[in-house]
Amino acid sequence: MSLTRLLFAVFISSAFIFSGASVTECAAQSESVSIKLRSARLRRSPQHWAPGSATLKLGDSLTLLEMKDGWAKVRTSSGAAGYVHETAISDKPIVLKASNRGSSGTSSDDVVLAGKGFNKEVEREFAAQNPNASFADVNRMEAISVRESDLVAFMKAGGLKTNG
Amino acid sequence: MDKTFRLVLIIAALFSGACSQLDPKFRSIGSSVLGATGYVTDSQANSFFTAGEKLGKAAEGLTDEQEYYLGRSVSAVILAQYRPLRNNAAQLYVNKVGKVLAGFSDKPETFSGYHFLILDTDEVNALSAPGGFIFISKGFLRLLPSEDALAAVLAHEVAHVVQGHGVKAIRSSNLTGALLLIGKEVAASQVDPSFQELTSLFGDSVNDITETLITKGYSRGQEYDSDEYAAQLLVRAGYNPAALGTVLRVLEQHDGGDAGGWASTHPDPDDRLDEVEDLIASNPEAARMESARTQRFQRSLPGLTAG
Repeated sequence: MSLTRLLFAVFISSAFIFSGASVTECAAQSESVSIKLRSARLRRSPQHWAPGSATLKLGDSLTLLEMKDGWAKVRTSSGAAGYVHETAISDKPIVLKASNRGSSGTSSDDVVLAGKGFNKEVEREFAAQNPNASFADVNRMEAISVRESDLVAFMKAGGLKTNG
Repeated sequence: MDKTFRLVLIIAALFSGACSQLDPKFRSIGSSVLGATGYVTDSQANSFFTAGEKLGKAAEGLTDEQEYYLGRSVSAVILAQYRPLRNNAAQLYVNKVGKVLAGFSDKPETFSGYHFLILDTDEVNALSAPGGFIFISKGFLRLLPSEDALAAVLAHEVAHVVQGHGVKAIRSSNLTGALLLIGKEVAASQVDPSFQELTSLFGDSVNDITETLITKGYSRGQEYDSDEYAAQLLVRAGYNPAALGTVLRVLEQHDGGDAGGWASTHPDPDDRLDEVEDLIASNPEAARMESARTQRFQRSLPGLTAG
């Protein structure tokens, strides 16, 4: 390969590699993100235990204002601004689906269909085939909840940091 | 076209697929440049982009929600083998310590949050399932002298979740098969062969993970990575990282590397100590409040600890 062709190839490679391999940069281009967790707190400052101003739900669409140090500054559809952690958001719109039954025709490459694939119905089938599997205990495990204010008090009393 | 040049173009096209929302403008420019140069045809250029997009989608893997359902079933299988300890106060305390550590991790949020459970068994063991389901045995608690030592064990398990080791334990044939089916619209029906296949792949994936957790163990590299991450988590949260050394020395004394549970699925504690030695020097600031934490550890887990 001649030097000219090699330089051209490196230029082309660089253009594509730098054109947006990171989710964060992709999200910044679209300026719209969705909550991908069952719920997430909209925080008043970019810290894990900062006071929350609202609870966001799976599929909620948000306007991305800024990304910094793993935190997204966002605005909700009702106009409230705050912070969510980057691991709570997707750069694709999330379409909620109550059931996996039937074809809705919403399976675009550009959206994520919540409830698709490994879901409640697949779990139910797995449970039927594995009667010893103890989903009742898993439900009890998930039901153990700690209030955030109690957790912050616990951290302070133990001399732990509170700025996660 | 010589082979090296062709390879560079293919790599460029594959990288372009890493971002699913690649600006169409870039796609258009890339396609026309590749095509117009005469080095590749337009259709060849487009096929490179298609390959890149597919690679990008495969790399996306399971969603947080799908990991959560896998984690629930793995946990249900674990809880068929071990019963939860019936002590609400103790369970709440362990959840507080665990949730603090998870909050300082690089994955502080999972689909349904992190959950911790003490298992009512004398076996010395700790396990974590995808989605943030984490278990520690009563037998392990009995060896621990302090909250910081408990935090070290839980931090190691949180590290497995953050680093995605559970999902990586799924055989690639099962994961690829599942991802291909998930890409389709599958009707939840016992008469739909695709749904039956998806359920079967789900069961196989659950088996792959539980077999790794309970019998085979993760790779030595994954265990060392989790120890290293645990040491960092302890520092971030304000716990004394020296507690990880305490745990490994306690394990060494207890089993000498041959007593089932953690001993059979983890590298020798002595080797693990060597790997993290530089990361677990005692932190004077964290050590200052350690005795207060140890007191509440003893109060919260009466009769359950070595403290």
